[in-house]
Amino acid sequence: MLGQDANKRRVRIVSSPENKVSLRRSESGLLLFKKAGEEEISVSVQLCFPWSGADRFLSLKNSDLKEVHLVSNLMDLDHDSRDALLKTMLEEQFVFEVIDVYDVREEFELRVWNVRTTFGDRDFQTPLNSWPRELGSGSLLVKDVNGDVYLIRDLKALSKKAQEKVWAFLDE
Amino acid sequence: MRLQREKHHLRMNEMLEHYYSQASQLPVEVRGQVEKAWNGQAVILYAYVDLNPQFKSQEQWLVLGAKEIAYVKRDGESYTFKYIDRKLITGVQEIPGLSYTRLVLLSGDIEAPHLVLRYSHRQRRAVSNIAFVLDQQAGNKSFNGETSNKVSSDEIYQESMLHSIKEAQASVAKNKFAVVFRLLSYLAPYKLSVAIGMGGALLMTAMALLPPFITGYLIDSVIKPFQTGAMSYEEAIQISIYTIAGLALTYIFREFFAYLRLSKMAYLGEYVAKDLRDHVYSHLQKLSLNYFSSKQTGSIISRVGSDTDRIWDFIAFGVVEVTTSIIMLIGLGSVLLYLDWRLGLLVVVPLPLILYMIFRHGEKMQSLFLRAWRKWSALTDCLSDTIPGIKVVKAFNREEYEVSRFEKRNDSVLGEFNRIHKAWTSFWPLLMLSIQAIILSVWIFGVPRVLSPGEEVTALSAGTFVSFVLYLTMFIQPIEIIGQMARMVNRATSSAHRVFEVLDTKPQIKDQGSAVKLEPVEGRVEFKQVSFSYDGVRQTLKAVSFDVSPGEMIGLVGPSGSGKTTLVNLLARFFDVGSGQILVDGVDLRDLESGHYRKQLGMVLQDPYLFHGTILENIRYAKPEASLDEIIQAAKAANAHDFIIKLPQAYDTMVGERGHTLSGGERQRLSIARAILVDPRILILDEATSAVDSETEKKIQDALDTLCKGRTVFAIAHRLSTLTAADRLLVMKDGRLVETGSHEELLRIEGGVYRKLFETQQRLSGSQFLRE
Ligand SMILES: Nc1ncnc2c1ncn2[C@@H]1O[C@H](COP(=O)(O)OP(=O)(O)O)[C@@H](O)[C@H]1O
Ligand SMILES: [Mg+2]
Repeated sequence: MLGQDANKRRVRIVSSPENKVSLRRSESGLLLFKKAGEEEISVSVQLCFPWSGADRFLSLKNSDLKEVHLVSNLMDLDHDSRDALLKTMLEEQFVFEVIDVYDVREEFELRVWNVRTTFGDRDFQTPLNSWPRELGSGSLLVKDVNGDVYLIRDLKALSKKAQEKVWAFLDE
Repeated sequence: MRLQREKHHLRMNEMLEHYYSQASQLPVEVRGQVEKAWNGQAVILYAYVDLNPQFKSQEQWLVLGAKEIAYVKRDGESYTFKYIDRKLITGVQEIPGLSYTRLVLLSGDIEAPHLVLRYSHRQRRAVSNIAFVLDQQAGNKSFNGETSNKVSSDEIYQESMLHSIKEAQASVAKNKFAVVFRLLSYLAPYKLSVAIGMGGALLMTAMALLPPFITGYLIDSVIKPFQTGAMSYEEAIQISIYTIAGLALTYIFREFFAYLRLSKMAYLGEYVAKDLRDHVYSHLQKLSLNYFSSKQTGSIISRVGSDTDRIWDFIAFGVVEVTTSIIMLIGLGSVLLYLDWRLGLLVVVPLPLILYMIFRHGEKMQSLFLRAWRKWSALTDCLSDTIPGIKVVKAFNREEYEVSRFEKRNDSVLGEFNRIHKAWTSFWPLLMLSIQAIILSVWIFGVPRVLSPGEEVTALSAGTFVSFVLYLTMFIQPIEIIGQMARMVNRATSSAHRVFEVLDTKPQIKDQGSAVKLEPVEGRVEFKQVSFSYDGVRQTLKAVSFDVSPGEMIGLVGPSGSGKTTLVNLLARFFDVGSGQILVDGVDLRDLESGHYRKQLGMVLQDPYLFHGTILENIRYAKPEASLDEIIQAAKAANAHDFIIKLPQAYDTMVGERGHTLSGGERQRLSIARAILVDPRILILDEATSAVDSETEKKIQDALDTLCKGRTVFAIAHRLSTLTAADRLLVMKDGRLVETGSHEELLRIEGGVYRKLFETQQRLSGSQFLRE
């Protein structure tokens, strides 16, 4: 019981305003995190809700992927820290954005996608029984066998032919 | 079979280009430059890096040498090189983002790391191989960087790149026909049967072509001359009888050939399916645990079951039906053109068009089927979610929500099926109508010619016309079959491919040709710098080293997820180490004959698995020759005898799936009896008592104490109190061995992991007392 109380107390300390945290970006593009009285460390950003509430609850993780700080609202940070965080966040949210779908076909146990992304033309594969995920707001998310994420941000913006290719994967 | 594999499959470098359109090896030019800079020392490992700091595509390579690493970047037509001394790298960070990973080679100065690289997850394994070596070196000054690679850097790179693809699909056939040919190669041992079956099919087709011809002959050469008085009644009857007898003969022969074909091919299909089932099952037993954890059980089961069944269907009927249909179409076309080329053309010319229409329709149906499949699997997901989780549904009172969720999905399944029905129900009548139109046009053009005076060139005899019309009706069936051919071939090839995939998967744990047998195993175990990763990315065990003497009892403790189970899995050689060595009695595990070694190894697992069978059979599983006497001894030693004889059928009670349900503690004691029976030299207990109440635990503990005497024991326990008998405790944390020593020694370490674990448990059991 004692342990739980101690935990509660610790939680309260972290979220108190006098416990100041700041963030900046190093030249090599790393996000550096400093908490008053502690050494500066490089952190990565994990969105707690990447698709359902991207601008709230950002977890800052150290190199062991343990959370060092939870930003529940970007407005809690000072201006410079927020800028640094946003910039890094945009990077870490990098996904392959699909702008055209040339072909989707089955090759035995794999579904092979042949697409054009903002990154360039790319082929990727998904298992046959794994389906793309429709995010509300007309986007489609596909995860390939390697864990890479492909996003069709706006299905309506695709060419008619591309829309036909993905039609089989849509709910309507 | 080896040769066949080569013939029908893409090689690794072809696969890389096929799937990723990515260089299948380090460009020769780059390798040359780098090795020159390293005075001819060879490249050890390399990886492709595909993202630049602006997250655009750029060709980069990370190359590991004995002393340095090279970072190579392509700018336009040329490459730029940057070399970093490996000794200057103080640490490595791999940070996964949503769809890319960032690798940072640290320099000690947080502001100025040596290198920051970004790459999509696709490249992660290959980069990780290099990061692992650098990380080991950074954490261990004496590390000399030598890796005992017997495999070339190209092979490691290709393996790493293709790992995920091969997990989804172990082999890649060049195309569908390669699969069909490979399948047909299974017919080779049955050449004679195939010849008879195919011959039967051909003759049957030929026979089918005779009756219309004979009918035409009867009309033109008998009925007409008789009606015009050119033939006498007697003569006409005579010929008619012969003709009808001929007709009867063709029917009899036709059915005889049909019998030949059907029976031969049906038996043949069964033999081939049986051969395949045997192959697949025995090969499955050889495969490593990896294979089974990467696939769903259902998918593996269906390969042995329904997939081989489909192959039977294809061989028994598909192959013959398609060939005979094609021959039938060709035969019909030729006969029609021979009978009358004008009318013949009328029929033959639109034929390709009709086949094309069927093909297009099939394509359209594919995408409809895909949608329906997806909706259907959403529906069954609903079931497989809520049926096992029904307690949760009820506990949170979500029945109505679940019902409405199911209904919604059910509705959309209905919608898709209706779409499918709409498509085919409107297509086939339309198609039939166009075929009827062709037949009709034959009448339109044919009838005036039959009625025209005999001396005109276009005149047509009534008999020819009748046989023509009879032939026309024979067109429909082969067209239908050929229309379904694409789907049938698709189904059969994907089944065959799944089966071949199992056969083509190589067991990862393989005995050397000169495998050693230890008789008996004494039980000395050494771990030397053992590292291991399940996925090739995250290291589950990191440089674990320790020594265990024969007969020692080792307690393995540590937080859950710290790698205890993994460690004993390696000891059992379910997996091979990633790097480092495990020695048993001084011999590397990989040099031991694994079957012989495992016989001297006993395992009692947390959730013991009982096969469907009697208690007797289950205890006897590892030692089928054990006498009933031995069985009772073992059961008594395991504290199982008492509960067994309470069952009405005692040792002959059926257990396992659909059998008598035993409690967790009872199953546990059966599995201990099973382990006692084989009298193992090395015993592994993985949380053998964590799932039972304290009274049962006491009984199991007693049983284990008997079992542990005189053997090397690795016991993993959640409750530290159960490990009091251990000679030494090894404490694991995050894949590292962090502390070793006796209970007392470990408690003396200020802020030690063990001490913390112990204190937490003390507190927990304390509060439990308060509650009780
Ligand atoms: N078959 C597997 N495939 C992938 N990862 C695994 C597998 N088994 C265990 N792991 C991971 O390896 C780590 C160590 O697991 P394990 O050895 O079971 O720990 P412990 O037995 O100490 O609780 C965990 O993070 C777990 O998620
Ligand atoms: Mg475990």
